[in-house]
Amino acid sequence: MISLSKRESDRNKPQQNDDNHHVSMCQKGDVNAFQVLVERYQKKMLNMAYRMTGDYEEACEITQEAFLSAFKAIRKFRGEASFATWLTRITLNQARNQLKKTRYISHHEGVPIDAPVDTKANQVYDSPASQEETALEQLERKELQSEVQKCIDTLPDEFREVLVLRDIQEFSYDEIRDILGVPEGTIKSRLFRAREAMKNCLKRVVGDIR
Amino acid sequence: MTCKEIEEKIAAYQEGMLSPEERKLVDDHLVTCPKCSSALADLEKAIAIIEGLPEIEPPPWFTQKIMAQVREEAPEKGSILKRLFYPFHVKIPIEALATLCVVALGLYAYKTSGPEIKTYQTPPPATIESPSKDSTVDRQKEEIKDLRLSETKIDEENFDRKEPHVKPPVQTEARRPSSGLVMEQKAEAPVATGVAPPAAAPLIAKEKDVSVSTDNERKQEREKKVFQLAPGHRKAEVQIPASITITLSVENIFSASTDAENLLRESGFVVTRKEYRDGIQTLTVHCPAQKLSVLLNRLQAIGYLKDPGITEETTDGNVQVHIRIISR
Repeated sequence: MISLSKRESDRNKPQQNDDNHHVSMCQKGDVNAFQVLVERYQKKMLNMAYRMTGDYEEACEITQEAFLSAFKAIRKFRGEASFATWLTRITLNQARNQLKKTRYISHHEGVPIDAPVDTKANQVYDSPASQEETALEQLERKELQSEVQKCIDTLPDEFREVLVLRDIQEFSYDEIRDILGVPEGTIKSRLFRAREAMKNCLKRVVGDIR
Repeated sequence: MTCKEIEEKIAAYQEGMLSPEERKLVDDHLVTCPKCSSALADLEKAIAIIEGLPEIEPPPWFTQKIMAQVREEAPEKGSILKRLFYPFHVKIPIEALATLCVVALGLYAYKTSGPEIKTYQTPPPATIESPSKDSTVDRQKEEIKDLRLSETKIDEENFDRKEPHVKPPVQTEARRPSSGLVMEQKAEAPVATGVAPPAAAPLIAKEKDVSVSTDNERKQEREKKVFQLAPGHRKAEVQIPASITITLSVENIFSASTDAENLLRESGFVVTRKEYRDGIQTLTVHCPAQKLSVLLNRLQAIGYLKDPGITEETTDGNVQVHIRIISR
């Protein structure tokens, strides 16, 4: 069972203050202060973009664009939400736009007959394996991760967003409400359905998931 | 609770969002139902797998690449103009200051050059009371004084009400040297001539409407209007058009014409033209502006004098007076 106290929102107050300090320096024209924020959030934003698109290159592109948009709009940031929430919203919008673009291209141009099959899902960017793990175990783990990503990719966008924000990025319901701008009931409903869909998908592709 | 109801609540149960009562009901059901407890276990496992997904690492060049793009977008630090016009990232302060400076300069320029413009564009009329050694003005003063004593008394209140309209600007009067009076009076003459024709027109039109009346009150009213010259000279002055037409209503045109000629001659006026047309005898006389009031006054002895329409503005020089003698 997931405990709410585990969520980042409960433990990142000091970081929020530090973010706001750097944001105000950026607003005064200090570009180096923005670099601190880039270094702090690039990994988080890249992971979210990757889980949304399932493509590493696209995720890098989305993250870059998101930071650039954030810098351009930094003077409009008034601190009503945390910087992390604000940046996540920007990144998520970039990801949505990228997904629309990709779908439009694949719908209108089609897939080349000699194209490698499902290249996106085969990309697994993993953390280094532990030394105790055997080669077979590593293979199985990567296989599982690939299948999980495939299942995430099959979810409708609004379900995927909630699943990524809550179960992977570990945002609180309040933060998700701020990011998506939808009521908490809607978020929970989407999340339960997304989890149910993931369970069924994993059972289908992996078999016994226990 | 049925399995269907458990299925609906299992996600909330798993998230720890059920009330204690509902939670107990689900717990009780899960103990007795292997199917539902299996579904819950699968869900928890799926969530654990999702949560256990590893984080991907950004490429090593990632920060530099992002910051390179950001620095391209960032405004140049050393731009003096930008710093000047965007000190608070808004244009308002400097631009507002610049606007105020322009307005202040404009006002200063207007105030410093204002009196000169006034002197040339709307020169104040010659004032009888102004200290001047000019003989013409002195003579005018004497005549006006005579008129004031001999003719109708003017209501002081009426005069005071009209005074602000006629009174020249005090500031301009004070600044003007006394010797400048004669020069300015000469400069005004062409202006007065240009105004004359429109002033004469309403006079003729008015004649048609005026019904013949010998009522004393009405006559006195007319006389007041005619001799508003006198009080006008006290503080301001009277402007007389360069050419005016006055109408004299008499019993007998021819005898009145002879009487008028004799009277004018005795008074020192020269009749320059005499014409009879359509039952109207017209005598044209050149008269100094200062003597106009005397002329009008004397003509009243011959017949009923209609309003000549003299306005309370000022001028100087000779006036051509057309005396139209008509039968009552």
